[in-house]
Amino acid sequence: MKSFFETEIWPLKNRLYRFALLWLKDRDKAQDAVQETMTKGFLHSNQLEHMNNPVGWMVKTLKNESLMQIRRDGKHEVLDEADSQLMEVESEKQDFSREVKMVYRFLDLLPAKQREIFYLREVEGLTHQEIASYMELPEEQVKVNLHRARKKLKTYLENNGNGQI
Amino acid sequence: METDKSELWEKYWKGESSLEEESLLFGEQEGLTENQPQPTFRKGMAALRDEKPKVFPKPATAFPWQRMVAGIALLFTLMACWWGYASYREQQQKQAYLQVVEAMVLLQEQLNKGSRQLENVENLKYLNAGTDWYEINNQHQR
Repeated sequence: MKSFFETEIWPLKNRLYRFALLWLKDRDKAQDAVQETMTKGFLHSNQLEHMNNPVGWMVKTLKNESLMQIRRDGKHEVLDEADSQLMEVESEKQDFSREVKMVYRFLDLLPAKQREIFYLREVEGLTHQEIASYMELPEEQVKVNLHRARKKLKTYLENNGNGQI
Repeated sequence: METDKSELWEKYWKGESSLEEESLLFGEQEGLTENQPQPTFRKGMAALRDEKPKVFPKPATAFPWQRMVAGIALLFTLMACWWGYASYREQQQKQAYLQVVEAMVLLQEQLNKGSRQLENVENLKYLNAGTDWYEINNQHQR
């Protein structure tokens, strides 16, 4: 019989990796962050099993791990606003394709919450409800933030020559 | 049909469209050129979707295995250490016993040797007695 960790937590690894990549924009660091998060998830799997939202806990842990990675690099001296750090990592230096860089350029224009929600919807294809549990937010807030992010995307794409995505 | 689509787009920009509705909207993407931002942006998102981590061990399967092997190895190491220590102690005790026996033999030999030497010293008193007898006799003769 498969454990709770194997059925519920381990399958999240690819999605969590991409989420970490959104913040860190470095494949190795994202890998490290996910590995650490998975280890923590495994060690806390008994507690996670009884939680209402284990996925939310994993995302929060991943976010903390990613923040620690950024702080370890010493790229950011001001540590007041955690979210602002997570969006300032440059994507231009990484070996991403032109298309990915374009997506990241747009994502970097968004505030952290909108960026994450937009990403979970457009890249991961999650429902509003799933995003709400990932982000530990009410569903309405997810819709509002998604609306704002898409509005910005519309403007962004209009400025880049095409109104539709 | 066209009205439906524009309604769907409206819903999409408001963030209220469902995943099914969005798949309808993005299902008709053909015919656009490579240089337009639309396919470029969608392509970028698809490329992001394909990003996967390198293979790393699953803690759930790797962990108990490693623990079990480590536990057995530790047990064997402890047993080997204990066995080694016990035989070392036994050997030390034997060696100490042999050393004590050797020391006792040596002591006994020395004692015997001492006793023999004392016997000779004892005999000296007879030598003195002889000298005394000689002197007495000499005096008588004079």
